[in-house]
Amino acid sequence: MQLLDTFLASWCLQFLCVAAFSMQFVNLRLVTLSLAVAFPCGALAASYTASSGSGLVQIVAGILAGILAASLAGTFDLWCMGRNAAFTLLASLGVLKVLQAVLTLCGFGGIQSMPFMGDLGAGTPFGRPVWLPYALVVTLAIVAFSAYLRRSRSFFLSTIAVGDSKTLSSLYGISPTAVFFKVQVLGGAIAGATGVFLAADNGVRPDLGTMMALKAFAILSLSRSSLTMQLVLTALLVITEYAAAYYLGGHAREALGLVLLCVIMLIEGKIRGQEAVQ
Amino acid sequence: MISSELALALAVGVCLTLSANVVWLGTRRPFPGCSAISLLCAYAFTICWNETGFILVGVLGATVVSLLIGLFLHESCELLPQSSFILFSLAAAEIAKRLAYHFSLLTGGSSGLSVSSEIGRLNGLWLLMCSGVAAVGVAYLWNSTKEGAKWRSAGESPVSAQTQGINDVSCRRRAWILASLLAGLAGCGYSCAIHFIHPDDFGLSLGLAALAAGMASRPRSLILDLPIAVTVLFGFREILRHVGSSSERFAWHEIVVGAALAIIVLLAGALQGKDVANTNA
Repeated sequence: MQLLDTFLASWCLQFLCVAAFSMQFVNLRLVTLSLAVAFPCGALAASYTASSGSGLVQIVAGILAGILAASLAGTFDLWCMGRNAAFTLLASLGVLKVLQAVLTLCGFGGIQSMPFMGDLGAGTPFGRPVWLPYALVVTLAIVAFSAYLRRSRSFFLSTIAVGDSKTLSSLYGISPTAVFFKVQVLGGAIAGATGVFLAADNGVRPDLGTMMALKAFAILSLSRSSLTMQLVLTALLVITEYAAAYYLGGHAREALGLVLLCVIMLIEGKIRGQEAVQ
Repeated sequence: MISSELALALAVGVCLTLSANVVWLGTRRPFPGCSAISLLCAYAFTICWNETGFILVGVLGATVVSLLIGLFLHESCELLPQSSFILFSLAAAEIAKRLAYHFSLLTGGSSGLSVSSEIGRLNGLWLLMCSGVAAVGVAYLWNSTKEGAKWRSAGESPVSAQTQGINDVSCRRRAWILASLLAGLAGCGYSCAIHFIHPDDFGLSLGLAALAAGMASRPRSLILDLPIAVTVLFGFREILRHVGSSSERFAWHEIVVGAALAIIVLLAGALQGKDVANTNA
């Protein structure tokens, strides 16, 4: 039972991370890390609202803070959209570092050593984290919402159009700025909520979720826009990581997830190279 | 007179910056992972030195490791598009750190690894002088040698280089190997000066600072650009050593590095775009 709880907890966290970056990475074709600042912002907001004593209030505060942070980072991403992808990624990493450092300075004495406050950080007598039911509900809601978005088509297609060509989509009456900010708000809300659960698990840190974001890119590279593939690949990644943690230890778990990312990218690069030759 | 700690920070900065600069000019790829090469080479150097008691075996071990990493990175760089390569190098840097933690029997894990030799610590100023010589060598390579011109043309435009009869893949491979050796020098020098190495010693921040400084250092004015960029991006934390808490200093350093990286990268992108526009016109 405890094994199932641990699996579900990690699966929810990783899937939420994938969902946060999904539209930006797959549809808008924007490879940036600046959205990752929404994770610690969500966590910090939830920690500050701990006195309310309600998990729901903490999650809502996390979502709102995530949206705010994502909108701030989004202004920079919007400016970068359509530019060289590699330079955009690096510049977004620089912006992320600045925002994380600002969070460290703004936190009470530095958030690096700040534990997560509030009920969500506690565990039940059976070892199940209190936040797990909340995370499951949020994950299911996001799966349902993602499926709805794919069926309702108009918004989903407009994001693909903007990702394909900003100029052409604006000629067809789609506002790239509006579409971009809608995607950013959705991503920020999911990332903010994920930050609350991540912090309840690991404590509040400025670099919360950055490595998970890298792994999310690997999952998104393989699954593209298929929701089922995203769910399955996340589960496979979590199972592999837990197998590594069981047999090799905690540090190997994190390393294995990133090794998978590297291998996937190398295989993808090889296949693309062969296609180009053909 | 500068202190030994500041000299060490600057020396490590110069070597890492030169490494990033060689990759940037020789392959036109921004590479933020050079600090991970330093970490691995520092471990290889310290382990070989501790096990055999001979410093030269340590140097040999670090050289072999840096050569292997250079070749591996070259092959990966040839396969991957630019943005994937950046993600790849970020992941690889984190893997190197995790592996250093994981193999605690070899590396000491979270307690770190000390040098067991009784040879005294290397003064940071000596290391700074060595890195200065390396900087002069790299500046000479870019500005006064045919090899440097070949590397730059192979990185700038592989197709044009091929039409000139230059083996562009081989040039890029040599650039990667030189970059790895320079990053390895930083790791070995650090280990010699501190006599201790920890998995967190060469973090991603150092790699990003090196990338920003390496991209900002132009080949024609490398000797002028490099000291300014390294002093701002690497000396900053040491200069503020007595100001505020360590967490605050770390945060301010991150702000400087992050802002410099974003500005320099966007400027480089804009300049590249301008070049393309001029060529098309």
